[in-house]
Amino acid sequence: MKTNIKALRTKHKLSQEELANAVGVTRQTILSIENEKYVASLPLAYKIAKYFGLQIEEVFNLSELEEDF
Amino acid sequence: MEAYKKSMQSLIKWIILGLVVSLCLTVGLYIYSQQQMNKAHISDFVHGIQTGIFTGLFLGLILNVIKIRGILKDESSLKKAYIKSHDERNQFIFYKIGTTSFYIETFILFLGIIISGFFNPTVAITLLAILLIKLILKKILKLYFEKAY
Repeated sequence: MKTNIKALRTKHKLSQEELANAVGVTRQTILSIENEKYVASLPLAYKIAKYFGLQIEEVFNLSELEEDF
Repeated sequence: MEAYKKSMQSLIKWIILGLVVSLCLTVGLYIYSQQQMNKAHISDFVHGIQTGIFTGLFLGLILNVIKIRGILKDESSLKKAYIKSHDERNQFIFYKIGTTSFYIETFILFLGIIISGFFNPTVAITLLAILLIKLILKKILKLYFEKAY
């Protein structure tokens, strides 16, 4: 799933480690989400979006989900 | 975090219990094997395997206690350990390993049953029993988790 996490991190001058610690996951998880290898769960997506003060759909590209069904 | 700290502390208690059990088993087994050796019923090879397993278990448990105690003393290590054990990607990988290894093990057991059948029927029957236990256990767990979730 495509996300804006990398762009948001750059904008906020935040490292993967800092974001990971803030939302309670490992740095590798943030890296995998950014590289579209792993899809974040709803609670984690909510935490990340909340951390940046945004809605989930502003951070994660949910349009891909509409294509499935 | 406090709940995690308590769970780690109770884990230490369980590990110490495991240490006591493995120590009792090692000593008991040693005494038993000494008696059996006089009757020449037990091979040195089997005795070596048993001693190795229990010694390995014993040392592994001691190392775990030392590691957990170290984590509990340092707040930042505790947070790291908490994140590592609760990380959703790690849990996802853990479940994936469980599912994938089940199918690989089952396939290896099937092969083992077929191949060993040509050479040693006892080994083939033992492997068949292991396979059946695995499949029955999987079915029971499936029924349990279907009810639980």
